[in-house]
Amino acid sequence: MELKNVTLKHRRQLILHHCSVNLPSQSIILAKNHIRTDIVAKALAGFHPIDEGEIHFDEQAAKGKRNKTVFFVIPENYHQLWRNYRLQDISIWLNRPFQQSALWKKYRLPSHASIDSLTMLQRLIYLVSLGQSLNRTVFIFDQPTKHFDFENLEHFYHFLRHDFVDANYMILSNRIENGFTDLSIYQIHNAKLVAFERR
Amino acid sequence: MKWVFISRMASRLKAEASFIFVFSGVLIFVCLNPHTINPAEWILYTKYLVPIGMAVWLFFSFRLHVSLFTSTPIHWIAMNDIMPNPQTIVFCQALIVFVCFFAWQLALAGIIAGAVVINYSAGWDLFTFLFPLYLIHFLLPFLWAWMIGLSAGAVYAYHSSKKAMLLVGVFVLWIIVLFSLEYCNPSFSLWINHRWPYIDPLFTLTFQKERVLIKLAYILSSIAVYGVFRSMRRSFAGLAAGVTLVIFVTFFLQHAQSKFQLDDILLANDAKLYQQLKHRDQTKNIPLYGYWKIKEIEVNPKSTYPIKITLSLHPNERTVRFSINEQFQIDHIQGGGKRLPFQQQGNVVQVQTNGAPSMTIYYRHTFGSTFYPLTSGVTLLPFEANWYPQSMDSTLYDIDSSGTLHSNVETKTCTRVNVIVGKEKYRWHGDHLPCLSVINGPYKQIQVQHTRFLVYKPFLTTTRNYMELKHQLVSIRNELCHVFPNLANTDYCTKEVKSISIIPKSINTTNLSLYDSTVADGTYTFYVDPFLDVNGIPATKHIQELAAFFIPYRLFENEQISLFAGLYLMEKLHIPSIGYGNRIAEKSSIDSTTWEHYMALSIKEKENILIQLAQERGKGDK
Repeated sequence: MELKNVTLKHRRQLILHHCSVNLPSQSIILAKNHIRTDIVAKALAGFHPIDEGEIHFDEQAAKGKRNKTVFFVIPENYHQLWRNYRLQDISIWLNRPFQQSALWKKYRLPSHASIDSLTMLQRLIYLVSLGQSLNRTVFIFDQPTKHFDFENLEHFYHFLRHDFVDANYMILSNRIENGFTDLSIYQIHNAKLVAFERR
Repeated sequence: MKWVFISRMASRLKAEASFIFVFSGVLIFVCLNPHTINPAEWILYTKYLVPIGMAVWLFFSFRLHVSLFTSTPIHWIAMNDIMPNPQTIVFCQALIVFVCFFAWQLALAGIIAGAVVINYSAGWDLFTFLFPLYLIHFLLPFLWAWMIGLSAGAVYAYHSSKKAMLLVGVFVLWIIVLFSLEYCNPSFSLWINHRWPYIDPLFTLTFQKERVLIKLAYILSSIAVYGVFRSMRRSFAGLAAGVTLVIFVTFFLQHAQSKFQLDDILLANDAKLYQQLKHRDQTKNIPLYGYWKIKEIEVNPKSTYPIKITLSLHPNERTVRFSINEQFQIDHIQGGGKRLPFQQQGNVVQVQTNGAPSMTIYYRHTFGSTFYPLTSGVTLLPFEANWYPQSMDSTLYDIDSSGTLHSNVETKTCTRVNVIVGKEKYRWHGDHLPCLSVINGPYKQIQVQHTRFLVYKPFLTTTRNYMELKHQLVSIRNELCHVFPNLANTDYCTKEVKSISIIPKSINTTNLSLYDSTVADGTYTFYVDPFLDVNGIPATKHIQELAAFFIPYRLFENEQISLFAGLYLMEKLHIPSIGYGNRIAEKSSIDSTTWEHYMALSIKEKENILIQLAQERGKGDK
């Protein structure tokens, strides 16, 4: 993903200012607590207007599809999505054939189970598999580990390393975690996106 | 299966769902009170059940819709472009739960109406009368509560909980104010009934359509309040706009509703009529004269002049004098292009026709009385009410020694009766006016074996009972015509039973009187006590006994003959007694010794006495 001279504001807060950067396909963007990561996530995905500049997407990853259909945003409050629904209900209401993917089997997602009965990680895996079933190739996670316990966290790192290794994704987070060390890490600093420097 | 999902969602609201089940159970239990006297009596319980039910349904609807709306991430679906209109998901869900709610209400209506019909041993006709009553008196307020719960749920899920609570506050306050008005002010009766529901024309059965419209207006207004509230960015601006709308709607609808609350007007007209009759000039037999002929009659209760009657006159005639029921006030009379001077004194009207070839009488719009109402909802203009000009004067009303006003005291003889039923507007024109009755209101027409029954809806019963009543009337006729040969050639003995009308009496008269029926041209009308206990004993059974006394009274206009003949007919025709005979005897001038002595006689002796009494009366008449 390439950002050219991007300026992003939200309610008078300048988040990015004339920012130009190339983001690799598996990267993490760190932001301080006062920055709304959901706004950045939506802006990068094209779901929130930017004030200036352009965001280009690697055509190879997009495979000729419009940017709009490529991104799949999993927000910070993903644990509240589809509450009270069973997994099979979601397909019914979305008018889509119900398909069980390999991820489902591996992470033991029973179709008759309700979302509420799943662990936080299982919910995230379900949303990822839903995105995959929709042929989305780029995923943007907004603070995905916020609600994880230590076990979920371990499994999530495992998921990224083994089951999501070929995927294009971007994680927005407020903190650096051990499991993210393999990713290209950027931080929003002084309204710019810059490579993260460990101190 | 989408509905499986909905049922799962509803089942998660265990406490709320249990409220619904308990409330519905109580509703059915209370409405099926077996000790009622009228099948429509359960609509009285709206006084208690509607406020409680609205609270229960509002709470359930709110919780269910919040659960549905917050579960479905329509913004996320839209953002990720998963489907074109994600709103359709929640719309569809809201629609499914609404259909379930509606089906539940229909089931309750069916259970209550069905059980009442079984309890009253009535038939399908009564079911079709009671079923909509539930929908009007219970479903609509619950629907209102449902819509409020839905709108508050939507605001809660898609805006803020604070805004939702404000909206709920506005609605709840609105409902509390409305219900307080209903409890405190009897004329403000829309959502609850705490008066006699089955007494028409005063009460609730008359303006059902209008009630539905006003209730729907409240429901639509609450949706508008939701729309206003939602569209306002600031909660307090929404609150101010919502409250303004609520106040405006309440005043507007109260004004509209007052047009259908005619209780006070009709009762005041009754009182006015009573005073008029009490202080009327006792000089009777004012001669009626002049040539006139009714050419046209127009009845339209909504018009400024609810009755217009055109009469053709003889050109040489300067003055005509005719009689009409003093209840009806003439506004003006138009003839020969100008207003004709007239005088209406009691039931006599004198008009200076001044050689006009015709004149049109315009009646004043007064809504009538509880005896003969003339409103858009209910019109009762039987021919015997003398509501159009008569060439013969007759005493229609009487105030007895106890101060009770009786109507229908003297009835005229009619060889041709035409009963117009169910038409709000009616126009007749021609040369030969039959005895004309115009009846509209909560009546059902039923055709049974070539006889037309016109039955006040709460008194509807089975076809078998109608047939039994008809056979009993035929038997009474055969017996009377056999015992009294003088009657053989009369209209009563020669005409078949063409029509039987069962009409509730005014509440401003006695519940039982010998004047309570008319017979002419095979048309039988029975005026019955509106508080008649038809639970267990259908109205037709009551009328079987009443007819045995009433019909002889109309034939002989003699109290003793009618009482004795009634007793004789009951014994001869094995008419089961409900006790009317003794009640009529108690009210009559006949002393108890004579009555008991007559009762102790054999059937043949009774017959002989009757014949003797009729002969004596015949001689007296000569």
